[in-house]
Amino acid sequence: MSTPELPDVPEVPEAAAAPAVPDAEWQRLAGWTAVVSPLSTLRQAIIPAAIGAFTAGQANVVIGLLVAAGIAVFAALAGMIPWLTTTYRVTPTHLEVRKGLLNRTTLTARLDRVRSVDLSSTLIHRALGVTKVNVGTGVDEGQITLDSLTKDAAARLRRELLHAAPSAPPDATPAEASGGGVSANEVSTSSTTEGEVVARLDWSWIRYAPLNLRNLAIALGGLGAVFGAFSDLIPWESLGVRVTNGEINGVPVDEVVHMLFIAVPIAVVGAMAVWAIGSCVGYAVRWWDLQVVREQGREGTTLRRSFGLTSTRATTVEEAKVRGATSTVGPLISLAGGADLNLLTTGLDDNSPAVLPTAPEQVVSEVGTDILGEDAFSAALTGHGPRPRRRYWFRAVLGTVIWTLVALVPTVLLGIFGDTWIWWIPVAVMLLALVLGLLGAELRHRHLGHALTDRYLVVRSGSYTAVRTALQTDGIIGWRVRQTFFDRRIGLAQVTAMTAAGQEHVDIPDVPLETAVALTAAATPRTVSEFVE
Amino acid sequence: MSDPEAPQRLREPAHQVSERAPAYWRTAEAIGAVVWLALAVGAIVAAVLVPEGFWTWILWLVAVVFMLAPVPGLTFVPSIRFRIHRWEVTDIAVHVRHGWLTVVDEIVPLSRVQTVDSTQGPLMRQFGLRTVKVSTASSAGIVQIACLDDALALEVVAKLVAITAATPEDAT
Repeated sequence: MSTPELPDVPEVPEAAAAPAVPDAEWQRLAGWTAVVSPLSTLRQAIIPAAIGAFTAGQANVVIGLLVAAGIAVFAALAGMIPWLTTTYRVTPTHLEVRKGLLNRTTLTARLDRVRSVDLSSTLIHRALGVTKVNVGTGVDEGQITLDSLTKDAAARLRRELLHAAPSAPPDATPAEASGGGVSANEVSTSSTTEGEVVARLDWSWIRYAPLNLRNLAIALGGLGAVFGAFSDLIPWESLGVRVTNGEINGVPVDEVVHMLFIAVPIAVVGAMAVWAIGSCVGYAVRWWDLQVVREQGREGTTLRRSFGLTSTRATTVEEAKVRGATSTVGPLISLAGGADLNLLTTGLDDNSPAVLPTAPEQVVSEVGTDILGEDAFSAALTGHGPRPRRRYWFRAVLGTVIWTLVALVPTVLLGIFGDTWIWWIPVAVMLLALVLGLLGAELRHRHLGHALTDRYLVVRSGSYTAVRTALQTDGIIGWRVRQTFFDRRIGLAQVTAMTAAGQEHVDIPDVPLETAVALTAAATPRTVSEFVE
Repeated sequence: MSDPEAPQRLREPAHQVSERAPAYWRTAEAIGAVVWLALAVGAIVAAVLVPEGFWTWILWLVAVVFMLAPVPGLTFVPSIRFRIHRWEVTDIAVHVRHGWLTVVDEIVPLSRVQTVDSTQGPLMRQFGLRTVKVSTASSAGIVQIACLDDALALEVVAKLVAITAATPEDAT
């Protein structure tokens, strides 16, 4: 099996040409690492440790305590290892990191391949004045992590990696032209300037926090998990719900129902109030002091986003590696006029990072325009004609009818044999589902569309949640045009633009085939046009 | 898109895959059919041994479905696939078309290719076939030219490597 790999990086000659400067000293992590990493190891180990100690403690308290102490000591010792073994240095051409106790490894990254630097600090980090550094280099090569450096060292490292003037002769492309909105006078400013503020948190945006259904789902999921984990500890027996002869705990059912009529609304209102307050507090803590700043980097500009009250995060990406952005409008948030803005980039562990929290559409459009270099989000979209609409309506009706029939069979049988006529439940559910399904189908059709601007392919799709994606045509590294059996019958195609950024693919669903081919040829004429007839 | 004589569709890539490919697909399907048959036998045995009930006819139905499942793959599907499967490598891009119920066209510009591989399973070796795999910086961007003649596949790999090496780019 021959696997001839392409030499995509001409690594050797350059490394040889620019030998490491002797004064680039190997540096250690911050001294406090010896405290931070045991604590973070301990935090990961706390649940197994607690379980172990608890189980052992049930047999004998002393043994339980010993187990807990043993685990703590072990974690502390294991946590010391990074500080003892990790060193790093920045040469004019490379970042080198040595780590490992038994398996010593040396990680080397060419500075002109460094795409992002991510500084994150938990509360523990911040109390000790240190921060964790993630350096993103390639696309899928993962990241180099240094946990943790002192704040000064981290800031210096970030500057050296992304912002220091190129001391080696600029070998690669001199500042890719696809960078984005860079004015000429900015380029000449020195690397020490504070940079230009692209966006800053506006506290009025907090009104969108309670409308975020995804966070609500996460919160409910977390609550459910906690409840599930401790359900054994809740003394159900002593709470004692006993149903006897139409009485619940000795209270007649009618009275219980009356109580529920009062109790349930109170509970719902209470839960909503808790959610509103909790989500706002969470929002404030998370996005505190958000700033997006454009700075002059080694090659072209960089974008830095920093935020956080308790744990902070400062992520810097090369703007040339930003291949586009998405603007997402969720169901409730759209009613309040908000939207989410995410970048499409490479070299981070989340390659579609949020630029802003949910913000008014106006702001998202402005910031998006600033970062994309043109107002791609406002481009007029071409719809996909009547065929997708028919398909969505048909699917909505068919799906509802099939599931209703499936649900009707047992309920009707129950009526015939069990004399319990509940067939109306599936029918009622069907009516509701049909309304929601048809609304979703219509929204999906309305949202569907695409456009091609000077530099961007713009796609919108989704039903209740509409996602508008702007992807640089330069960032498209391939196309996939798929037609299922049914697609071929009605002449639609499912188009995927392959890219290295974000989710690594942008889907254009249900496009008429001729439009699809014309679009691919227009977006990347050099690649596609020779295959078009 | 404002082009008045808008192009209509993607043309067929120039080359077909190896003539031995349908035989290979049938053989692979036949090996899979053994498993289906075993499942069918299991269902029949169950239908005979288990006391009769409403499930008996379901078991028989399952047995029949299991027995019929590999039939399309053994008969007409390989020839349809052979007609549809096509590939072409120009100086600029790779274009592959494959599938039978769902037909997929894939186009990747060579300037964005990161690695070129070829693979050959034991059964493919018996048929002298080889699959060329082209991957890009996108996890969605892996394109396979399946079932080429062994020698031709190696030739294609060499050509792809030569072209992609000549276009040094960041590939993202």
